[in-house]
Amino acid sequence: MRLHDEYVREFVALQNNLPDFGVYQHDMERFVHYMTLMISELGAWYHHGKTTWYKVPGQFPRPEYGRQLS
Amino acid sequence: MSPATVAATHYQRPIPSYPFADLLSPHAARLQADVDAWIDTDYAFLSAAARARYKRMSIAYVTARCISGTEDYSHLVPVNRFMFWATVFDDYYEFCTADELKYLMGRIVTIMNGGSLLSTENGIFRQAQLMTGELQALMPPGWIDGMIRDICLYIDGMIREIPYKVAKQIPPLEAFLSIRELSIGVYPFVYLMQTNHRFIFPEQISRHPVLCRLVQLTSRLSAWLNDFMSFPKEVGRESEVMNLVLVVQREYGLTLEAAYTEALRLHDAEVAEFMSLAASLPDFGGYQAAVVAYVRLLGAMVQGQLSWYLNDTVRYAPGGYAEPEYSGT
Repeated sequence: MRLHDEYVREFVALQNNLPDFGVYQHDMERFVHYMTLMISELGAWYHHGKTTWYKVPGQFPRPEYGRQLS
Repeated sequence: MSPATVAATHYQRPIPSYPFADLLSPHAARLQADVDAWIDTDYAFLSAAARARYKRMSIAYVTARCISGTEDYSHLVPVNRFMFWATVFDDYYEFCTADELKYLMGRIVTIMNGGSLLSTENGIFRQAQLMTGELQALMPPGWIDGMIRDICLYIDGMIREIPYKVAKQIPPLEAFLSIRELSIGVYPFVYLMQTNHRFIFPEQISRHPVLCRLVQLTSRLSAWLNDFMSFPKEVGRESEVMNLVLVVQREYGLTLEAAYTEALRLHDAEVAEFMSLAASLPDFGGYQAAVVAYVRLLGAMVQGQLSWYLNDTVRYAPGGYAEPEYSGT
């Protein structure tokens, strides 16, 4: 968790210290913002989404290639 | 006394060490003779004092140590030309305004794209033009665009330092790390390793995250090494705020000695990461041997700089440093 949180801290610091991208500045800020949404929205899917994969034991799909299935 | 002992006495603090190869091109002396000739011609506009200091600096030995993977002398000439060019550019324009540097960057880009020199422009611009011509002749079509891109990254790094230098304000750590990674000017230098064509890789290799990170670490380690080795010189100079030790000190509220130790720890962690990545490279198929050689040379580039500090230069000894001379128009 500490390793993970270090990466979050670095991400935020870089986001707050973007270089001068001239005419693309606003677009770059939005691009970086949407990157954060990729992460936070994936988190929301884990916690609040309807999938049972991570909540109910045995609910995630198993690899079937090359295995004998009953 | 060995160079390392002299260094320890002079620097009075631990200095970095590396598990990297320590290499030197056999063309070193010839490359230095080239630099001496350029100092007397295109760079003759500099003061006599600056020219004398640059000759004592053995700057071609940085080229010879850091780009030893390029074995052909004729391929090393433009690399060496860039190395000295960036050193002079860095010193001469150190106190430019952001607008002035943006203008200079625009001129360099124009010249490297084939534009003509202005009659008022000094030898720095002519050397950029000469270097471009040499690289265009040696490298594949379109390759020069990457060189222009990386030189812009370097000058952009210089521009982003300006607000802190003008205000004599030590930057926050994260801003400093990303600015200094660029302003150390190693990205174009690494790009020039491709003057040995064996290291021109297809994009899926050159843009692979592992290689990108190794190149980034090479830039950062070069910057931290420079900060440690120039620390005794910079501590006395008020204007120097872009130094890892000073930045760490301010960020964490440490004593100077504790900051130095923490900065060294940060540096050593990046060396460890470099070694770990180098030891677990992905499978690059037919390019594997070339990539392994390339990564070895990235490490050698950092070691080469340390060896240059210890063996070749008086730049970081008191009195060895060339002062910025550009004062506008």
